[in-house]
Amino acid sequence: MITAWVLTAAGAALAVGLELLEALAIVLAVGVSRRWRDAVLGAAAAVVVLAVVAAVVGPVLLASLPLDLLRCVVGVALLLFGLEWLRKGVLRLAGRRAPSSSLREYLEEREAMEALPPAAPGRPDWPARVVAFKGVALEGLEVVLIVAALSGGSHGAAPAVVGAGIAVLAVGLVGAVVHRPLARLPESHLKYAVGLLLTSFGVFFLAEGLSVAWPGGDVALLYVAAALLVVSQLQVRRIA
Amino acid sequence: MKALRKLVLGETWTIPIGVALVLVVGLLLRGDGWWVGFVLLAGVIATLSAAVRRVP
Repeated sequence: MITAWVLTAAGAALAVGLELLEALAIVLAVGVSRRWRDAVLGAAAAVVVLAVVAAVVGPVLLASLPLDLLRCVVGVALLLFGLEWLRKGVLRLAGRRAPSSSLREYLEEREAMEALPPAAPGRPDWPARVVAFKGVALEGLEVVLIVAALSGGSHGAAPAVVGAGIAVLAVGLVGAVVHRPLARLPESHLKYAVGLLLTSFGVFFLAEGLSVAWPGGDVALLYVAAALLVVSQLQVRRIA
Repeated sequence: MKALRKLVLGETWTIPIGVALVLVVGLLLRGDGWWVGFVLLAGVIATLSAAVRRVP
C-alpha cells in the first residue's frame, strides 16, 4: 500500500514542479522585462480560472463517477499525459529533440517581451497580462488534470495533494530566492521519469477499472514501471 | 484551442489512437483474468514504440 502512496506523491510532486517551473519562467520573464504588477495580475487571474476548473473536474465531475468508470477515465487520462511525456523524454535522451529548459524559455520569453513597445505609464500593460495569464493557465491546466487523475487512486487525493503542495512550495521558493529558473536542473531526465510514472499509473488504473487484479497488488506499479523503463531505454538506444 | 488540443492529446495522433485501441481491447477482454493487465501493458508499449518511431 505504501508503494502506491509514495509513487503517487512523487509523481505529483515531479509533474507539478516541472510544469510550475515553466509557468514561473514565463511570469518571471514578463515581470523582469515589463512590470511586476501586470505579470502578477495576469498570473493571479489564471490561478482563479484554474481553481474553478479544479473544483469542477475534481469534486464535481470525478467524484460523481462510479469507481470502476472513474479508474478507467483516470487511467486513460494518465496514459495520454504519461505517454506524451515519455515520448518526448525518449526523443530528448536520444538527442532527437532539444533538451527541456525553463531557463531557455525564460530568456526567449524575456527577449520577446522586451521587443514589444512599452506600456504607457499608469495604463494597464495588456500584452504582459495576457502572456502571464496564458503561460500560467496552460501549464496550470496540465497540473490540475494530472493531480485530479492521480487523486483517483485507491488512496484518494491525499498523496497527490501532498506531492503537489511540496512542489508548489519548492517552486515558489525558487522564484522568491533565485528570481530565475534553475540552470542546472536535469529537466529532460526528470520529465522522462514523470512520463514513466504517469504511464505506469495509467496502465495500473485502467486495468483496475476493467476489474483486473494485478499479481502482487500495488507492487504491480513497480514491475510495470520497470518494463516501461527497459523498453523506453531500448528505444533511446535505437534512435540515438 | 490548438494549444488545448496539443495539451490533452499531445503532438501526434499516434498516442490518442493507441490509447483508444488499448481501451477497446481492454473492454473486450474485461474480467477474463489477471493476464489482461499484461495485454494492456503490451498495447501501451506498442503505442510508445509507434509514437517514437514517428520522429519529427
